[in-house]
Amino acid sequence: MGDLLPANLWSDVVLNPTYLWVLVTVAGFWLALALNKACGGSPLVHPVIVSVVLLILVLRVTGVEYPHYFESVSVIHSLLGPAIVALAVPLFDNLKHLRAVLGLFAVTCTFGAAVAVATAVAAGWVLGFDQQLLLTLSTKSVTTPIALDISSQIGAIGPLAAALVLMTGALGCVFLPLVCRLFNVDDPALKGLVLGVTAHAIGTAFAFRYGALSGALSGLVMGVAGSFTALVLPLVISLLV
Amino acid sequence: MSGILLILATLMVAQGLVTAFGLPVPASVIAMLLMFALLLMLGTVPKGLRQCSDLLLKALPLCLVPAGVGVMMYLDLIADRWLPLLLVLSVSTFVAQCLVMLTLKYLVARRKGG
Repeated sequence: MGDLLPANLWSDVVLNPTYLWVLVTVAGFWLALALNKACGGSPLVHPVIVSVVLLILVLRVTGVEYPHYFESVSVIHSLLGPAIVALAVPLFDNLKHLRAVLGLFAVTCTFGAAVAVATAVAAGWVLGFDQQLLLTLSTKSVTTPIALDISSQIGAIGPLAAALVLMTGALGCVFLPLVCRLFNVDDPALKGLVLGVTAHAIGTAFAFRYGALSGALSGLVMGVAGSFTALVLPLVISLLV
Repeated sequence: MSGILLILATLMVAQGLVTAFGLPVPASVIAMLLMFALLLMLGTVPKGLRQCSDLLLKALPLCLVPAGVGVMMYLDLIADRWLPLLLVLSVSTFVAQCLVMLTLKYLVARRKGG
């Protein structure tokens, strides 16, 4: 038996950290997708949130340290940059929806983006959070890939920022129907704009419940408000800190 | 093939701009804006780019997982203040939605009135 199989089969193939952890990561994500589908696409069971929880459990149980895991799956992480660039395509596709609401769109992407940052930092400041945690909070309404990039620019805690962003997205979907009832708003365009600037991609998926226009506008705001924040926030912080 | 070439070239140009001018801005965001400007000039999405971007966008949520798992390094921090964190996220998200919604509603009413 031992002569038929090379002795290093186990260590070189099965325990090859890249094969092993990329496989486990993709499998975890696939499971999370299935679970999300089973829950009717609820934003609270977001596939990224669920797969992160699953993977943390696996790493804890197997006693693998995060730096080792991250190095093993860096091939997945390095696709983030190209994926952000690819966001330009849906942005371009949805331009035709923009003409009728251009003014509102511009206000949402600038004033709205500033409000999202300001409310987060103000609320954290009131509760006495330290500077690094406030910086981490500041990106909470920006879509996760851009938030990760901003975090590394401004010295925030990237992984924590990603977790806060995902939580914010889910909370935004819970609050929006409440806000609409409170202010008696039924315009799908307004719903899409507000979801895009406060709840990024999770909000955009939710916005499609109000129709294609609402979803498209939310996606546009997510991209443009996210870019606006990425361009302005690091400059503002470099002046303040 | 031509799609990924175009995307990588855009990323390289963006990284070049960021490094050359010392911009405190993520290169990937600059690259996205460059790509958007390029699409505006072309007036259409080239077929290769369309195929490549469809694939990348489908994979985007998966690409977030490796960084997201990093939150395990900060579980103590979260366990210590999960309540204030949840409070801050809830209150600020709700208030931001109210402020933006009211502003937009006001703008719509003003346009209809005038």
